[in-house]
Amino acid sequence: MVLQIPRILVRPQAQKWGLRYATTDGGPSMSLQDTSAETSGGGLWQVTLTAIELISPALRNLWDGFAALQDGGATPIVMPMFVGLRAPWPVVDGRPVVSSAIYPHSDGTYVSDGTGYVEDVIRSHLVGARPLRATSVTLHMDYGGEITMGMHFSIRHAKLGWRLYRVRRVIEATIGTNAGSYNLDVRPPLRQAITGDEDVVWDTPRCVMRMTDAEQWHQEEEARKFPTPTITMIERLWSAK
Amino acid sequence: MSERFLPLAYADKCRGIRPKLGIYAHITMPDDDPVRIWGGVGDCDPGTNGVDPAGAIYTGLGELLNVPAFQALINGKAERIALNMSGVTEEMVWLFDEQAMNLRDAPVRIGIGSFDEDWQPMDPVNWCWMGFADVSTMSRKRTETGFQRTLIQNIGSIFTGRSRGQHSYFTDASQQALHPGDKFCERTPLYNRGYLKRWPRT
Repeated sequence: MVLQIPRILVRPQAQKWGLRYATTDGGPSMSLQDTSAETSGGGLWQVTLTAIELISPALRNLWDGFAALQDGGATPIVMPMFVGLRAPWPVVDGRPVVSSAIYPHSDGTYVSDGTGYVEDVIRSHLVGARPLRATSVTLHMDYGGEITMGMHFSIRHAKLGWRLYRVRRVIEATIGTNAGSYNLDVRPPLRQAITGDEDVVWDTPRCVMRMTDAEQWHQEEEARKFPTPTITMIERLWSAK
Repeated sequence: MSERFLPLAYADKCRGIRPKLGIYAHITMPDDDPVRIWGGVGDCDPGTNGVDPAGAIYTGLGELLNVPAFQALINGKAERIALNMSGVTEEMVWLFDEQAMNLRDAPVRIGIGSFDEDWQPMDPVNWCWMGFADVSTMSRKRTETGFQRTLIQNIGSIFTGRSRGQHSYFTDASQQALHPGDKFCERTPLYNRGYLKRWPRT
C-alpha cells in the first residue's frame, strides 16, 4: 500500500530536493587524472522539508495520524514537490496560468460545500517506448509553456508508481503556442521501461518515498507555539520484476 | 580490484572522464533462478554477457555494495572474501536466511561494468572473479535513525577449504555423555592453561 499525503499537511518553510549519489573518491592525483568513480547508478531522490507549520489542532491530529499510518517507514507515501512558478505553466495574455478552472458535476451542480473538481493545468504525454534506465525521453506538450533545463516532472510507472525526474537539458524542441514536442535528457535514468502513452505530470511532480527517521515526525509541544517539524524522506524502491 | 581486470578499451575510455561503474554479483542457485544484484539504484539491464547470454535484470541494492579487494590466484594462495550489503530488501532476507542451505556452495560471480555519460552500459559485464558461497550472516544494529540491517555473504574461491575448526571441550561431563564410564577426561578439571604436566613422572 502506498499512501497519498494530503498537501495541506506538507507546507514547509523550505524544501530541499536532490539526488543522493555514491561517489567514491581516490584523492588528488598528480597525473591529473580523475580518481573518483560513481557507482550509484544515477542516484536516489531525497527531500528535506524544513519547518512544516502545523498551525491548528486539526492539522496536528492529522499529522500524528499520518505518522502512525506510515508505521515507522514501512508504508511508503507519495511525496509532492512544490514547484511554484518553475513548472512550464501555459501563458495566457502574458500571465502564467497556474490553477485550473473548477468544474461542476455533469448536471451543472457543485458539491454541497460549494467546491467542484479541478484538474492539472499542464497536460503532456510521452511519445514512443523507452527502455529501462534510458536517460532521454520524447514527449508532447498538449497544453503548457516552454520546458527548460532544471524542471521536474513525474511519471506513474506501472509497477513502481510515481517517480520523479529532472530535465538535464533540452536536446531538441519544436515549440508552438502553449504546446510543443520535446526530446529531453533526464536524470535519474528511467526507473522502469515506458510504453509511450504515459501522462507526464508537471503541476505537482511527486515521488514514492519513505521516512528516514520516525522521530522527526514527533511533534514538539511548546506553550503558545505551534510545532514546526522538519522531516527528511528518501525514495523508496523495490524491484520491478 | 586492479585495473588489470578491466578491458583495456574501457580503461582508455575512463581517462579524462569521471568513470561510472556498476558492480554486479551473480549467484547460481541450484533449484531456482539465479540471484542477480548490483550495487546501484533501481533495476538495471547490463545487456548480454558471458553469464547472461540473453540479458537479464539485476536488482539494485540501493546502497553501495562493498566489495573488498580480491586477488587472482597466485602461488596457490586461496582466499575468502565477504560481501557487505546494506539496503537489504525482504527478498534478500528471504534468500540469505530461508534459502541459506541452498545457497551454500552456490557459484558466485563478481563482475564490473561501465556506463557512459548517459548511464547506458558501455561494455558487457566483465566477470572478473568467481567463488562459492559460504556462510552468510546478518547483523542488525542500532543507528541514530533506527535499526540498520546489513548482510554479509562470505565467498571462498575454489581453493578455499572450509577448515574452520570445530570447538570441542574435553570435560569429563561431555566424555561421560558420549562414552559413559570412560575415565579419559576424569582429571581435566585439575588442569588449566599453562599447567606443565611432567611425563614421565620422575
